[in-house]
Amino acid sequence: MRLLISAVNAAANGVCEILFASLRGLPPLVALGIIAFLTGAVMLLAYKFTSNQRSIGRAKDVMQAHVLAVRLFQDQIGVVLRSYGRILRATFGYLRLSLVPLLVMFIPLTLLLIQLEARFAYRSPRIGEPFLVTVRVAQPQDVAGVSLETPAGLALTAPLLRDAEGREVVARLEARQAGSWNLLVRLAGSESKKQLIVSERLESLSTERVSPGILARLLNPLEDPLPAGSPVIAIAVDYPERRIALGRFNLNWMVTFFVLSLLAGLALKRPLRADF
Amino acid sequence: MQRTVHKRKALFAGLAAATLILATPVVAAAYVGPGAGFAVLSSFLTLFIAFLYSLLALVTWPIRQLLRWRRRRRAYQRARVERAVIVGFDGMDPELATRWMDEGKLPHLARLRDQGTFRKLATTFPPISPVAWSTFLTGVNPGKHNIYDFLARNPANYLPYLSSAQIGDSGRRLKIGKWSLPIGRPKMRLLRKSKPFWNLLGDAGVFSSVLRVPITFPPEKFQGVLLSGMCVPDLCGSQGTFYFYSSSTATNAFEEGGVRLRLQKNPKSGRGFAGTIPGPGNNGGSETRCPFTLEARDKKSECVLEIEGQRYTLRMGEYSEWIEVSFRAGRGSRARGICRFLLKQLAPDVEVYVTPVNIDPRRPALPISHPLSYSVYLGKLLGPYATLGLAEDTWGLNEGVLDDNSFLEQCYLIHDEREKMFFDALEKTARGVCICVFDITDRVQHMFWRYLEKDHPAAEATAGAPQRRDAIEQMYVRMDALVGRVMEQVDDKTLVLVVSDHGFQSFARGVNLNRWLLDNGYLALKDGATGTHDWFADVDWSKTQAFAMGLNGIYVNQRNRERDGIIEPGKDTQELIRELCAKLTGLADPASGQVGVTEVFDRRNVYNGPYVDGSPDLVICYARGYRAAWESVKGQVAGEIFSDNNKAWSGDHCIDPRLVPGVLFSNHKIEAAAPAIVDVAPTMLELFGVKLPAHFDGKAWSISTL
Repeated sequence: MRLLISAVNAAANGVCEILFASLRGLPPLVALGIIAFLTGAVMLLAYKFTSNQRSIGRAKDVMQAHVLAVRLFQDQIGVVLRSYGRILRATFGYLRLSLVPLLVMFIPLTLLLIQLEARFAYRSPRIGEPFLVTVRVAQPQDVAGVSLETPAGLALTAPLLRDAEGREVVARLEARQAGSWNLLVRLAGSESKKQLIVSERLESLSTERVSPGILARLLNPLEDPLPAGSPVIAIAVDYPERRIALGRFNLNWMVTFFVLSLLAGLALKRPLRADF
Repeated sequence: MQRTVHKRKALFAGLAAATLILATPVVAAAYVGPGAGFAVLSSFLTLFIAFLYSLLALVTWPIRQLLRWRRRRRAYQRARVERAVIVGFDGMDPELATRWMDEGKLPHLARLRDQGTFRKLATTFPPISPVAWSTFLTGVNPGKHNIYDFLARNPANYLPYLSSAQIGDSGRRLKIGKWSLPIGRPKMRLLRKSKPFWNLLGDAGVFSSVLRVPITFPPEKFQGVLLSGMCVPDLCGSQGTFYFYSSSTATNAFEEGGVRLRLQKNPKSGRGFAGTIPGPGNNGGSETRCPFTLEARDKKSECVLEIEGQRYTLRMGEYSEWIEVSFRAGRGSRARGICRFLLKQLAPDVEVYVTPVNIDPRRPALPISHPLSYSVYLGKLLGPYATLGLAEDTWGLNEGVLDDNSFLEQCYLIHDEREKMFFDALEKTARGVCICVFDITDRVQHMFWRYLEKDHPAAEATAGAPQRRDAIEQMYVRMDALVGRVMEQVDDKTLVLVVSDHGFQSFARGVNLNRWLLDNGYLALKDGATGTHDWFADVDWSKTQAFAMGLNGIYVNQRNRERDGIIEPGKDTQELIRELCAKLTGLADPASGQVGVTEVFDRRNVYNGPYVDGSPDLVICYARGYRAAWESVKGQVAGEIFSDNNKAWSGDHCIDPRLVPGVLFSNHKIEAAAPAIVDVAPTMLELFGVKLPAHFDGKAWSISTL
C-alpha cells in the first residue's frame, strides 16, 4: 500500500510539474483559469463517456417538464404539489445517474485538487516577510530538546516558543533570500528536514511534512513522510494564504476553480456534445 | 466459504472507502469539482426554479383564488359537473361500432351504451373533419365559422388555399454584418371564425385541457392548455410531405404527398450513400438542407445513419425513433424538426422512407400550443411526438412507399404518443374540461376500408400487398380499451362523452364533377387543352359558368366576384344554381345504374351567418360508395365522370351527411330528439352554468342523471 501511494504521489507530482512548468510565471488567476478550463473540458468528456447521456437527457427533460407543470397548472394546487414531489423524485433519479461519472472522476479529481491546493492555496513568503514554523513532537518532554538549524536564505527572528502542553515548538522566521531551502530540526540525535520555498512565482508548496500514514501521505504528496519512530511527528510551515483577485472579490482558490471549471463545462457543452 | 470471505472483504473495503470519503474534509471537497458541479448545478437549478414557482404558486394561490372567486364566482358554483371529459374519435362509425358491440368485441363502449347513452350524432354539411370539428367547438353552422372544406378558393386567381390558417414570414430581420436574425413571430392568422366553447368557459373561470382538436392552429389564448391538431403544418409549411430515398436512377414522381430523392455515393468516405433532407426556405429564399449518410453494416438487414453528428442504427422494416434534424434558417437561427426513418431495402438498391419533418415540440419553430410552453412540457415529459396535423402518412401508403403493416405501425406509434398526452391531461384536469381528439380512427378507416368489401376496386389493385383485413376491427378494439381506461379514472361526478365528427362509408367510385360540367356545357377548356393539369390551368374562364373544387363544392363563376366571372350575380346566378341542383341531384353511375349524387343543395338552404359568402355556391351530397374523384378535387377536368377508385384510400365520409352520422356515447343518460355535433358546445356551457351566446345554433342536451 505504501509503495502504491508513493507511486501515485510520484506520478501525480511528475505530471503536475510538467503541466505547471509553463504556468509558473503567469498570474495566479490566469494559471488557475487555464487549469480550470482544461479540467472542465476533461471532466466534461469523462462525464460524457462514463454516463448514460441518453438517460441523463431524459431525466433532465422530466425534471424540466414538472417545473413547467407547476407553471402551467398553477391554479390546480394538487397538480402543483404533485409536480413538486415529482421534481424531487426526478432530481434524485438524475443524481443517481450522475453517480457513476462522479465515482469515475473522484480519484483523479481528488489528486488534482491536492496538487492545486499545494500551488494555489498558499504563496511563499516574500523577502523580509516573517512566517511561522511549527514542530510537533511525540512526547511533551521532547519539547525542550528541539533545536533548529536555518539555511542561508532564512533567519530566526525570535527565540523558539516551546509549548510542552501542546507538544509543539513554534519558530518565527524571516525570508532573506529567494530559493528552495531545507530547515533542519534536531531532536534527541535525530535530524528531520523540511523544505521551504521563497519565491515570487507560483510554486508547489508543501505546507507540512508528516508522519507515515496513508491519508497523511496522500494529502501531502510533495515531501516524503518523516521516518517511522521519529520523535518529531510533523513540521508545518504557516505559509501566507493566497486569495485570488477576481474583480472586486478576493476569492478562495477552490471557489474560483469551481466557478471557472463550471463555466468552462457550460461553454464546452455544445461543442463537445455532452449533456449534464 | 471463500467466496463469502471475499464478499465480506469487498464490503469492508467499500465501507472503509465510503467512511474515508465522508470523514475526510479535503477528499470530500473533490465533490465540488466540475464533474459534481455539473450534476449539482443542473439539479439545483431545477429544484431552485421549481421551488420558486411552487412558492409563488402557493403564496399567491389564495389571492388568485379570491380574485377569481370575486370575478367569476359563478364559474363552478353553477356547474353541474366537476369535470367533463370528451374523447373524440375522428370518423368512428355508429354502424361498425354497433356491429362489433353486438359481437361483444367492444365491451366498454357497450357498457356505456347499456348504462348511459349511445346515439347517432348528426354531422355537418359537408361531413368533413375540419368543418364538423369547427362546428363542434364553436356550436355554430359553417356559415358562422367559415370552414367549408380543407381548402378554400381564392376568387382572384381560382387557386386553393388552406381554409383554416395563413402563415407568413414576419418579414422583420435584424441585420448585423453578414448575420440576419429574424425578429418577431411569423405572421399567422386563424381563418376560422367564432369562439371555441373552451374560450367562453375560460372567460367564466373554467379551466380546459384541449388536445389535438382540429382547426385549432394557430392556437388562441384562453384559460387552459391546448395542443393544436389537424392543419398544423410540417416544418416546410406543407400538410405533410414524405421523402423517399433510393440509390436507383428511377425518376418517376409521386402523384401527391411525397418527394423521391436520389441517394448518391458518399463522396467523403467513398462507402455508403449520402442524401439530404429538404427543409424550409431560408431568409434568402433558397431551400435549406440537412445532410445525412447511410452505410450498410455487415448484417444484411441493418445500416448506420449519421445525421447531425449522431449515429443511429436503422433496421430493415423498423421505424427509427424520432430523429432530430435542424435547418439553418439564416445566420444565427435554426429551424428544428423531428422525423422517423424507415429502411425499406438494402439490395439491389438502398431505399429509405422518411416521414414528413414535424415541428419539434420542444423547440417549436411555430407556436403549436397555448401557452407556447405546453408543447414543450409535453415534449419534455413524454419525449418527442408527432405534431403535424395529419401525421399519419396516408399518401405514403397510397403511393405504395409504405405497405399496410408499415402504415399501421406508424399510426399506432403516433396514437400511443397521443394516449400518453391525453392521460396526462386527464390527470392534470381535476376540474373543468378535458378534450382529446384521436385521428387514428379516421386514417385507418380511410386506408383499410377496401378489406371490408369483397368487390372494392382498391382491394384488387392492392392485392399483392401485405393485407391487414382486420385493421379496422382491431383499431375499434383498441379504442374501446382506451375508453375502458378512461372510465377507470373517472367517477360519477364526471361526464364522459365519446363523440365522432362523422361516420364512414366506402369510396369505390369517384365522380369528376368538372368533367360533368364540361360535358354539359358549363365549363370550357382552352383551345387544344386536355384538362389534365391541376387547378384549372386548362380552363377557359371566359366561357365557364361553374367549376368544382374541393371535396363537396361547386362554385359559380360569378362576375365581380371571380376574377374572370361571367355569370351576373342575383337572378342569373340563382337560376344557374337551381339548374345545376336539378340536373346533378340523382346523377346516376352508368356502370351500375346506381345514384351517385343523392342531392345538391343551394348553400342558402344549409348555411346561415356572416361568412356564407365564402362557401361554395352548391353543396354536393354523394351516395354511399361515391365521392369526388381525385382529379376533380384538384381542379382537373380530364377523365371519365365516374371512375373506379383504386387507391388504398378506399373509405370516405365526404358524402351525404345524412348517410354518415357520427357517434355519441356517454356515461350518463342524454335526452335529445336528434343530437347533433353542433349541440356539444352549448351542452358544455350549460353544464358549467355559462350563459349561451345568442348566435349559437346548437341546443344543450338534457343530461338526466346530472
